[in-house]
Amino acid sequence: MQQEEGKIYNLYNQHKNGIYRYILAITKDPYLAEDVLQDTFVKLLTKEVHFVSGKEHAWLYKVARNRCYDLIKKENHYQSNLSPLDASLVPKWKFCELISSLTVQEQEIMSLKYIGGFSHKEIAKIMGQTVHATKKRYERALQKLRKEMEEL
Amino acid sequence: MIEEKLLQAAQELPKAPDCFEEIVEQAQKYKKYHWSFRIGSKRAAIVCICIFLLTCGTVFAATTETKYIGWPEQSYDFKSVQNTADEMDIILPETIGEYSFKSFTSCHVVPDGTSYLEVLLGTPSYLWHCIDYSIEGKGAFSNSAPFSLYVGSTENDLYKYVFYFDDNDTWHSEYLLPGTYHSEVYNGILLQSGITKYERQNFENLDNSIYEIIWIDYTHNAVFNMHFYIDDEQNLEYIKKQITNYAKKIIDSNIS
Repeated sequence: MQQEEGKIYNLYNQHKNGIYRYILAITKDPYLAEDVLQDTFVKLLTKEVHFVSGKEHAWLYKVARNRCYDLIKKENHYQSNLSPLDASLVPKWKFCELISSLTVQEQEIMSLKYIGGFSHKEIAKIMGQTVHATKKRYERALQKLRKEMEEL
Repeated sequence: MIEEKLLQAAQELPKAPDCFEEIVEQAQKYKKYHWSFRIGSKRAAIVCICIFLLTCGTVFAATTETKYIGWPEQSYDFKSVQNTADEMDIILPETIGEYSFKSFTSCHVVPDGTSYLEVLLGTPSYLWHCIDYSIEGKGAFSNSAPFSLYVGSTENDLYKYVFYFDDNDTWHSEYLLPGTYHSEVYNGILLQSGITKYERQNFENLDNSIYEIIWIDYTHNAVFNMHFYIDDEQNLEYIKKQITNYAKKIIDSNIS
């Protein structure tokens, strides 16, 4: 049993930055990102959720994602609900600025791709979509961003 | 080009604050909170609190005056039971009579002051385990009388304090209701039994009785303690007979 908990500690060190950045990129809320990171690993420690051996990386992001949406639902804590004043207080992270023109789903795909380093297959699993849909959205998002860059 | 920019910008996002200690603290609070609600019925919860107190708050080693506490861990997967059984080289049943496996709790008994994090990081501890059984289809909060099997190793002398044995491995009968102690030898193993009435132990408003049967299997260096939560006085004789049969079944399965 202790071996499993040692494994959780190692996973935490390995993935804490990725999970935190991913949640930060999609919510722009550092407090929420910290809460989600904590809750994800509390769930693991309390055995509320269990490892899927060999697929821990993608699986941890999925647990974090679910937790994030749970918290958003509970606290009505979503970016779109921030007042303009609140939004102005959000720090300007370059990554968030780069993907700001994309749809929420596209932003999430880009975050999983560039923060988590996931394949389209893994992104599809995390987001509960088909690989085809994920790929298409990713390509569309890249096209949008390229176009924006050209216009600049 | 845009891909490189995105990759670089992703690396520039802030790093996560280090919060593993808080995570462990939260997990431990969660466990403490859920301890009394997730094991069996209300009566079972009371019993478990008693057992928890037994190991968590009030276990003293007479010779050293050391105080011990216990950190519990819970699982709902029978694989955890199997792993423990394999480690202890014993057989623990998934079903006994009409009762089926419900949940599994392990408690790390460590000197007072030992944090949960230290336990996780490998501080030596005495481990006792509890398998809760319930009747199929009746949930944790049903009125179904829950039934538990506690097990621990005898390789560490702390088992005497955790399971209330004296130096000669005689069960401390002063914790039992007067006149309820009984012993018999089965297949060379001494079975000791009796009724514990928890209203005597800090639960004055509650009338909860447990029929307990305990034995030490010296071949496997293991102590077994079965708890059956008594519904009413009327079926006491039936319960005694039934739980004794269950105990004998477990002894038989570990002999063969």
